[in-house]
Amino acid sequence: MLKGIVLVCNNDFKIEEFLYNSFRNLVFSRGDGSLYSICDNEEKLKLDEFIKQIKNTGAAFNWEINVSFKNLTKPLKFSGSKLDRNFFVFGLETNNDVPFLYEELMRINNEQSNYIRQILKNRFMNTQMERPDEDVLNELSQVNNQLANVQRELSKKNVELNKLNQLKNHFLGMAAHDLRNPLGHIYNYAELVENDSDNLTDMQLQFIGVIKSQSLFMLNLVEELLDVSSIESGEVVLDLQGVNIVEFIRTNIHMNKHLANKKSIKINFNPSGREIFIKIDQKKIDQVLNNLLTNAIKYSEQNTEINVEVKDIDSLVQICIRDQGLGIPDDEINNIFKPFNTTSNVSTGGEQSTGLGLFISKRIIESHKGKIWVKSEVGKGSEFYFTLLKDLK
Amino acid sequence: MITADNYHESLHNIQKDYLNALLNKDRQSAEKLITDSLNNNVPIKDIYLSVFQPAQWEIGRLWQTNKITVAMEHYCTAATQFIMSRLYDHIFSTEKNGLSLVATSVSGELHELGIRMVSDFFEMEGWHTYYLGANSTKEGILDMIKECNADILAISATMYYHIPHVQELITYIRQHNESDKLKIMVGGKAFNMGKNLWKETKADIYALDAQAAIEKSTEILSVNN
Repeated sequence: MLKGIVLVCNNDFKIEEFLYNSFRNLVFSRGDGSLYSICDNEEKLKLDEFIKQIKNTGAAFNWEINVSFKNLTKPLKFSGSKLDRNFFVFGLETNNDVPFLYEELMRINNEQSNYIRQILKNRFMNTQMERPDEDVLNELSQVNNQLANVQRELSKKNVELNKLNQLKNHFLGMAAHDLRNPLGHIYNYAELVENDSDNLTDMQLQFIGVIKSQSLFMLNLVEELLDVSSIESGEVVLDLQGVNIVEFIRTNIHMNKHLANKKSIKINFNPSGREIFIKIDQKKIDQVLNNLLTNAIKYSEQNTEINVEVKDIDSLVQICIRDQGLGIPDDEINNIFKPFNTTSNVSTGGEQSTGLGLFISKRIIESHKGKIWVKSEVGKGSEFYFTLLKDLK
Repeated sequence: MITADNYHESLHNIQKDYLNALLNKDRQSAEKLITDSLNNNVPIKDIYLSVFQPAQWEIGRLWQTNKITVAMEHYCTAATQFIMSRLYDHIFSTEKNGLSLVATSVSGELHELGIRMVSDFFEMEGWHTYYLGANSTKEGILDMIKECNADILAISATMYYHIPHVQELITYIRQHNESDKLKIMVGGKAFNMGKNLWKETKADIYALDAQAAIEKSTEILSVNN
């Protein structure tokens, strides 16, 4: 059953005749009896354009216009055409009703219908070909709405997570800062007691040694937590100064030699030249070198060698620290620069690890616009590389 | 360069350029206009009220008068939604005031952009907002109202024939929500057709646009307190 209305209007678009009305149980509030009187007030502008198009071009197709019945407003798809001196207008609930309408018109079977049928068929079919599928568009629009809603929720959660993360870093920084002083006192007092070793038994000295090494480890951990907190808060501020990186590394190696000597590990230094001047934050790069060298010492057996190389490559300096240690298993190598990630390797001299050093080193190198990476083979050793820009601004 | 002297004229020009960019299917240029405005310290609220809102109204008018196709209307709306989403980081950073809003469109309504803009406005005012899409069930909306102890439920309808759905939803919420602090607000183009049409839905307040929605909500809550 066709759902809609078919009307004949005069030149002023007053309704002359209802050829068809499927809403017979509904009464039109006719007003002045024009096409405007059955349409929604809000739709007047649209109706103007619809009528203008019929008058100018002879026909208009598929205009969605709300029709007001006495107790109901309903959107109908309006089409219309010139009909001698009058105008033929039909409004249907769906586009699919158009072929059915032709049948209905055939049933009305007057001369007008054949005339209209002829005009409308070609025009409508041509227009239909050009029209996008409205149902698909509506469906796409719904999908888009849902995506927009999900995106809105995600953005909201993201902002909340960032705030929580900031809070966490703040808390971390505060806690670490408040731990540092008492730990310093514990270490210093343990050292004072140790200095008075004449009055201590061997066992007491051994206990003092444990207190010292554990409080030193905790102090390092606290220092590193403070570094992480400051890095995570985006507060890595570089104090850049010009330095001869060859001499700078040589000094760092010298400072770490006593650790290496304890395990009879030999550190060789092979720079590609005597002088390479670059701009770095000395304190931070010193921290990176310390971390990589102490790691190399920690995970190397006695009587092995560590080789440190410096290469001048165009605008970069590349530094490599190569050990003959345990090597990192393949399934662990991708995680070593993440915080609190330690490998399954056990240090050869019982040294402890916080799992933060490489994470901090990576962030420091990245803040210098450099790169850090590792190559490793289990049983053969590891090679840690990092690059630094010569002229960092 | 936007200055205090040419502020309103500049915003008007941005709106015109923005609309033209969308109608030329040039989403990148439209987005650049908005990011440039932000960089020129134009407040997001002004971008919403003086660029997005009039541009969307004009797109609606062009579609209604068959000057643009329905496909173009969908494209422009989707593009604006996308560009708006780039502002979310700024919108959601506002400090919260403890009030909460649940916003929704009635079932079957495709025009969600306006009510989402309203939600964003509340968010910028420090409210917690929970926007539920038009596919939400009335039970789902009720659950959300209870879960977030909502102060305001905002319901939008663009098409006139969706008003009975709004009425139905409000009746359901009133019957099943025990809290008497909840106030219900309606808005959207459907209610612009008649001055007192909104009253038929038994809503507490009606707002013409996002700015009015904030003002009316603040007013009714302060009276209530």
